[in-house]
Amino acid sequence: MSNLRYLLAAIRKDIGRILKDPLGILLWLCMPVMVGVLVNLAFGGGDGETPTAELLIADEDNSLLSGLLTGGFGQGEMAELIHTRAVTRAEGEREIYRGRATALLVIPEGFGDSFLNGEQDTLSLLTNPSQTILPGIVEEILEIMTTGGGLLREFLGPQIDLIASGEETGEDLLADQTVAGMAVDINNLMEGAGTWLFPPAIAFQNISVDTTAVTEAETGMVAEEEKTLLWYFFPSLLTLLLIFSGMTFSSDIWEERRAGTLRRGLSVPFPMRWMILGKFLAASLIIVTVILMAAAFGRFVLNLPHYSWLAGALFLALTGATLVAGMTALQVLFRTERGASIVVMFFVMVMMFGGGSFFPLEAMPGFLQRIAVYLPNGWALTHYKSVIDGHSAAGELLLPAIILISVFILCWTFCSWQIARRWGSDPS
Amino acid sequence: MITVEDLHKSYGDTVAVDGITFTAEPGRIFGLLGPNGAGKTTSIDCIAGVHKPTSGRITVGEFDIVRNARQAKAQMGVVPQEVALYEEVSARENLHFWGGACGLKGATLKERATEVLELIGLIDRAEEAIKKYSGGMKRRLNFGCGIMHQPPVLLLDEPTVGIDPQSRVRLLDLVREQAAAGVTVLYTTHYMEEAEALCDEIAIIDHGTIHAQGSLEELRTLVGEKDMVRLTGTFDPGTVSRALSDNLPEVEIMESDEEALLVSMMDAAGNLVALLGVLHDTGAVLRETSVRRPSLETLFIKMTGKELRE
Ligand SMILES: Nc1ncnc2c1ncn2[C@@H]1O[C@H](COP(=O)(O)OP(=O)(O)OP(=O)(O)O)[C@@H](O)[C@H]1O
Ligand SMILES: [Mg+2]
Repeated sequence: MSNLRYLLAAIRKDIGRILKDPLGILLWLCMPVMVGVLVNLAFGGGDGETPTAELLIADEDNSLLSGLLTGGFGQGEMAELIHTRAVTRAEGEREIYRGRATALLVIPEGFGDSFLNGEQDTLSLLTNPSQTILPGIVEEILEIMTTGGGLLREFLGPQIDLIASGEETGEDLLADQTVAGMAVDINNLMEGAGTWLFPPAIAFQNISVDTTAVTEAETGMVAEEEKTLLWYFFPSLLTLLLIFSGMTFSSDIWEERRAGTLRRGLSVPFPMRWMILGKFLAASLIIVTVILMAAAFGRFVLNLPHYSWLAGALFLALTGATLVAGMTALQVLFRTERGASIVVMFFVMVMMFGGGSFFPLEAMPGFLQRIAVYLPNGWALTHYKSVIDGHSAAGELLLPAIILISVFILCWTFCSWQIARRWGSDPS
Repeated sequence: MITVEDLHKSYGDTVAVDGITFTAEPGRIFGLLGPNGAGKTTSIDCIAGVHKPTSGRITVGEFDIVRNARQAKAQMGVVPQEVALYEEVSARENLHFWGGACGLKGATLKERATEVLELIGLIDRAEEAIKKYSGGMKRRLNFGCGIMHQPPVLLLDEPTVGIDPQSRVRLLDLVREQAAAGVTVLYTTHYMEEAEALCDEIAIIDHGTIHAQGSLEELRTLVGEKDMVRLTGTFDPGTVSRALSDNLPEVEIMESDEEALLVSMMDAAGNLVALLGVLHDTGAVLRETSVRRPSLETLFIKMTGKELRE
């Protein structure tokens, strides 16, 4: 009974702290919302007949990467929206001025090299002034991703600074060299402006339709033609929210360690696990609220055809809670915040790009799609989508939910043990 | 009451506490006096149940801190060396949380928080986020959080570091009031004057061991009536040692090297001329001389061979 009272006090304390400093939440809310708004602006409503765009590509680079970029455009669902044709720059310009194509994408020489070296390079897009909507769409696709990338940079800025900051040693789980190597990788990834432009370009052309779903289209399932780009994007944005909230809330454990409140928490009569559970539940309550609001917004304001949206949203929130616990478990493996940040950031990147949270799963190459389901967000996304899509009944989320709860309890137990053992009272 | 028997604590290869034993009695202030890195915080952490001792036994009241952690912890209020508070929320919210964490609830908790706010002089700014507080105000609140549940045992780890003189006097008075009310107080410090002025019993700790222990009076007699004389200049330690034992056998050499000499002797003021004469005859060149009356500090130097600096 008194344990419960302490737990409630701990939850109240952390919610109070979070709400007193809402900038953190706003930051991780901001990014997916902006991406969502942009997607919606670009593909507003999705009603009306979809016209076909003629995209000319002048590949002056002829590198592996430019090949991937041009080759991919002509596949899947995207092929119906955008027809591509390889041209030279001069040919392409002529075609545009004659009004025979929608846009010309020029991949300049050396683009692939700049990309690999993390240098900035520009893809230029020449659009047909006589067409109004189509050039906009092509432009928006590129725009969204650059803007999204920019926002992401803003959001991850402090983390990058931390990672880029000087030497710090400690007996961490991973050898220093490994961590240092990861830091370099992440830095390169972040620094190459091309990175933000490029993967989406590759990913986009691959939007493909699950053909089995089309042939068996029956009642009780979302029909393929109802699946707008936003329909594909929205769940990804929700999981993006979860990943960011997991990163933000889990790093608060360092805050508490620095403040000495974990150490003080070890000297009170209640076991550390209640204080930790309080932290996790406080974060979870915020996540549930945000996800429910976002899902309701998607369902009723954006009118996305979602089945069992409520059950789906609750399942996602549970995923978020588990991510908080899991990422905290990762944090407390390290002696230094820098070491922890690098590895947490690494997982965030892997989940974001590999688990379908930045580009929808459907927009990823097949082999990546198969790997994605082994990442926490990809796994959750697959279950979530199959429910909102009407493929599975809400009840089928029960087993995955039980798995999530078990993982949560496991991570919670580990964190409490590790923090009480020494981590919480070590000088940081 | 706190009893500590042969406490050892190591962090990996570092031995932080190396076999200390003492008893702190109710109604009295027990001081652990030692320089940086002596092992004061480590001892407090072990007693508070923050760290598990490597070996040894600690009981608080009648409870063993390892075997009956919960009951033992319920007896204790802890004021950590570093301010340990939630910066984003107000003083009152901090008191509510930590008071609740020590078992207070409902109206009692709320009333006690107001009482403590008055006691530590922060009632006027109780609702402000404490990140706007000065360092000294945070320290006072840090102390307040430790006494919320009126614990019979209070552990204070250098609570006056960084506090202005008025707040310090006030805080020391609060500590005395706690002891007067029957609380067992364990107080660590590296301020000599603080230990002298506050503590009923003092243990001098360095390198994880207690070098001397007793009431202030007992410790004073340990030093004896002798004064300490510190001389700097150029000496030849061998010649000095011989000359002193030949001419002034009552002078005891505490420390001696080429540049400094520390001796203890009776009535240093009266015998200084004789001492300087003997040293002069050895060919020593003197730069500076200082005489110290017997105090905790002289004892400390005698016990640990070094001076206690801030
Ligand atoms: N978590 C830790 N890990 C490793 N060594 C530690 C740890 N905490 C303390 N030590 C070491 O143990 C020794 C005693 O430290 P402790 O903090 O107990 O000293 P202290 O007397 O409180 O000093 P101060 O006056 O500076 O607070 C020091 O050598 C310190 O480096
Ligand atoms: Mg200390």
